[in-house]
Amino acid sequence: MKKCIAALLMLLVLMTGSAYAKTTELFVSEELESTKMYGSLQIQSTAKVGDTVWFMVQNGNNYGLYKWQEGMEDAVCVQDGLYLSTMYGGKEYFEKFYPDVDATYLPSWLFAYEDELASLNLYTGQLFTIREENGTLVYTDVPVGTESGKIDPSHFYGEEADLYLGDTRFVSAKDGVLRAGVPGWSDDGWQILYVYTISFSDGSVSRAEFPNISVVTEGKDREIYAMYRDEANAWDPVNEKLAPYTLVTLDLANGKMEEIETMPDDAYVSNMVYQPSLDAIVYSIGTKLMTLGEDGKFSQVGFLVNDVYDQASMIPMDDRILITSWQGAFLRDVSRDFNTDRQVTTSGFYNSDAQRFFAREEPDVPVYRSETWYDTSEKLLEGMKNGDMDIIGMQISYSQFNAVRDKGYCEPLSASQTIVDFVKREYPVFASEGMYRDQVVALPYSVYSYDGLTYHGEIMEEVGLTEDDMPTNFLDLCRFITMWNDDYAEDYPDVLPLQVYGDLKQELTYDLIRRYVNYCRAEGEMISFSAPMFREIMEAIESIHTDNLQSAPNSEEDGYDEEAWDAYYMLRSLMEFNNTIVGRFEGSVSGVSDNTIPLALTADSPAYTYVYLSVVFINPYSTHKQDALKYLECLVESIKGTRTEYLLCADMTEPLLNPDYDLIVENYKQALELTEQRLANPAEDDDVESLKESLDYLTNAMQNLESEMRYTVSEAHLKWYQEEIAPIMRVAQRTFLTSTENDANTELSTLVGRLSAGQMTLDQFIREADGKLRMMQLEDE
Amino acid sequence: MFHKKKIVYLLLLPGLAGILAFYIVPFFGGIYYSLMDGTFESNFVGLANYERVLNNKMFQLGLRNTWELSLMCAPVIWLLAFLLSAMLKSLKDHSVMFRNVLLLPYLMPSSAMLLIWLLMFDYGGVINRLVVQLGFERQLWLEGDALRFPIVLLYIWKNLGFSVVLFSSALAAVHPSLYEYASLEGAGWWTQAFRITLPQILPTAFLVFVLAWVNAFKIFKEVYFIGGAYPTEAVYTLQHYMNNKFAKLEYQDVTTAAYLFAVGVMVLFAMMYASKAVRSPDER
Repeated sequence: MKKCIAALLMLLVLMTGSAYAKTTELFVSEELESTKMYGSLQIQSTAKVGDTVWFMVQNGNNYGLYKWQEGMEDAVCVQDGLYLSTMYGGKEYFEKFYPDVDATYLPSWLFAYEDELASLNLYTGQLFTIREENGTLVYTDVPVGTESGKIDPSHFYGEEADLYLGDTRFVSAKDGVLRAGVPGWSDDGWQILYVYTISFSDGSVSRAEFPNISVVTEGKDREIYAMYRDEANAWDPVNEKLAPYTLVTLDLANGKMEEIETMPDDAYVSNMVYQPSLDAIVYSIGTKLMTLGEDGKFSQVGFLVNDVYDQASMIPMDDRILITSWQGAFLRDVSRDFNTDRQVTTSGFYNSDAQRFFAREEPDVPVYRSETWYDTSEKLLEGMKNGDMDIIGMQISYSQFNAVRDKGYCEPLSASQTIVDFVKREYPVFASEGMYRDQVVALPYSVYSYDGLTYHGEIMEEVGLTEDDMPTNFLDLCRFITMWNDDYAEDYPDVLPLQVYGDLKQELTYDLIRRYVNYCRAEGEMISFSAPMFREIMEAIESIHTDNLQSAPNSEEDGYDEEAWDAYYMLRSLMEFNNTIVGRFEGSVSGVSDNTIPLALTADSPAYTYVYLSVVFINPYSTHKQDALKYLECLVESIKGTRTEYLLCADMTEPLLNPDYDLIVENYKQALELTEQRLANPAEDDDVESLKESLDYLTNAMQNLESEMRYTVSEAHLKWYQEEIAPIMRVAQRTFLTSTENDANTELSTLVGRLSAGQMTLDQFIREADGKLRMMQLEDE
Repeated sequence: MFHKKKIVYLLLLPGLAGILAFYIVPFFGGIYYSLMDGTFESNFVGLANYERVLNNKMFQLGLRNTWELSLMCAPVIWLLAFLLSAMLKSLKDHSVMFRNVLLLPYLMPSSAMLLIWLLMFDYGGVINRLVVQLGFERQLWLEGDALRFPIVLLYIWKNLGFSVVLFSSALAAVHPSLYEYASLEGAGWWTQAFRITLPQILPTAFLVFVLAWVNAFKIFKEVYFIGGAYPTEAVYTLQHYMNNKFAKLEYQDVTTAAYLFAVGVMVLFAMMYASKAVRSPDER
């Protein structure tokens, strides 16, 4: 069984890797944070040896070694295919799937050892150096003072401590002692730092554990600095913020920490490193590179193009820092003289591509992200007036953007022809949201929908239904559920007609209210809950038969019952609510024909699809308007040639090719070959049936690759989107009456709850709901 | 003399500066906003906001409900507070404990009190169980016009203690010999209360009434917690109107509504103060 799961996991890793696989190049630059934005070239471990920086890089499921020196435009791949990520399952899998690779020199942590690149095979305990000769890697054993000349690998590999090979926080070797800080997780789910100390002279290994530490670096005298925070108790509910970090030193001998200083409140330190040129520790906080002075105050010494989160490491390079992460590698200047009057601060949105493009255009202008959360529009306006942000992103469906725009608090963007032209290319239903008094004042830049009804083809076929039998409007949906309850539920107890995660009728009522409000807006009708259409559907919901249907556990009354929920999750659902229609392009290789449709309210009413639309605009109080405008132009550039452009712009004519297609095919082929080989020559403990299933799946997927994966947006989908979906798209607006989510904070939720609980009649419900509605309407007159 | 006055003015200066900075200037500064269109350009629109707000049906409804609710609450609080404090006075040394008990709801956080109220008046709550026991049908106390009852009750319960404290301190200043003479003349408790006590503490009684009334104008938090931004029409107050307009960034409407209301209140209290009955004997 264990083997079977491992085999499936292997396939899963291959699939995942393939979806993201990119060409094997790594870019190190002063300007750009990364050339790879899909996370495919993930740097796992880095070491600086003399003038050369070595990277262990994960490319999809493939690991390679890269090197880079000052003056080189790009890092170059020295050897690809060191191993597959599948070996995370253990050494035996590595050997089984990569029989041609010499497992003796399986690198893990990289470090400099006596002017050479070195590493350690965690599975054998072999220390070795790595040298490049004539384009190939030459490995040399470094014996340690044990009988075998190797370190006992049980410290790293076994039931207790399975280590990810390259995942380290720091590695250093000096005076015959290797130290490595490796992340791990406690049983409670909090981070632990394991610091291994390995002696080359006697091969001894000791491990110290430090809970709640994720950021760590070694100082100039090998003292270890770290950021500590008791994560389990870090949240302060009164002030609604996390406790500040504490800078500590780690005492490896007795596993204790010594407190040095409490960091300022707002410092989310994602990485740090000792920088010799400044003789100080440099911290990355958002996109700022900071040092902490003796007065306990931060001063900025540089900036990053993009936020660097966990898994990064920073290496000092003279008066610069090389930052490597799963996003790529990049060099940044650090200086105590850092100062810039120009900067852009964004709030409410983040786009790493735009950040990179902007850095290319304006390399000296930092972009910061405001971490302040403005939960009301008045707080936002206050922040705007204070100049806290230059660019603001808002999602129309959840925010008061329309009020902000209509009050003139969006700087006109007409100074940029690039932005104006792009907005003009957008579907009018989107473009109009960014207009105020015939001027472009906001850039709609992202869109998706949430209200499609999906039929699951496989289940439909199993129960003998066809698409013609399925409901296409809300009224029919109610009748269909009753029909299923009466005629199908007993025969298919593990299938629900529509799986919802609450009381079915209550959830349907919430959904109906949301659709009905949007429908009235789309039709230009005055919203009224006493309208015959609304009443008719409400009556249909009330009369749904549910006695044979399994209902979702009632957590409110019975408390959260994990077992009951697990059982409920295991049920299959013939239909599914709230799936995307907009943005439903290629990507599936399952071959199963699921269909997602926009749901009309009744047979006689037109169907619409209601979309979430996000916009960005410039703060009229900003003192960096020019740079902010340039940033938005970069945002436009980052959208071009992506699926988002197809969703937003009405003038797209050519299909969009999937740039990863060849690699995806290659990865599938590789997986297929490996599975075939293994099936032809199964090991004793292999689950042959499972392998056959995997083979069938892969064969089937291979057949669908061309039709499903060749294009990011195919011609057929483009036609479908432009002709069938675009005309019925409407932007979902926020209202006090009902938010676009079925959350409990809506004005009508209490009423719906009372109706569901039988505390009020439908007439009372409609009267009360209409009363609220009337107040809203009259208030705005 | 001049020197003394100078010192007095100097001592008053910080307080006056605070009043000027935090009350007078914002009060008159707010008038500016009520004459603008509330946009980024801030265009002057004259009295258009006043005209629109005055004609807005929800403003009218909020204003009417606010007056009605305050007229329901203030006299009841005033009367109950007077009677309770008069009774407490007769308890002499034991009165402190009762006064503190009465003050407790005033000190409790509103959210905690509202939770109790919601549990009591919920469809399956204590009150409805009592109603069913008495042979009547359950009521939806928290919806429709019935919502006024629990809200008024809650407001009175919460604010009664504060008025009792004010009355009690005024009662303590009434000379006991007056009651002794009255008793010798055969006056009963009610006669003493309304013929001796009330005239003696009239300025405080007026203050209690004014405070009860003014506080009742702010009967919003309770309604908002129970009914949301758009409760039933019966309890939609002026502050709902202002709060909702504020959330929609209609600041000009908020200030306009506030000034219209303030003018109304000022006129009312000016008329009341003009009546000599409520002044202290020295001022009459």
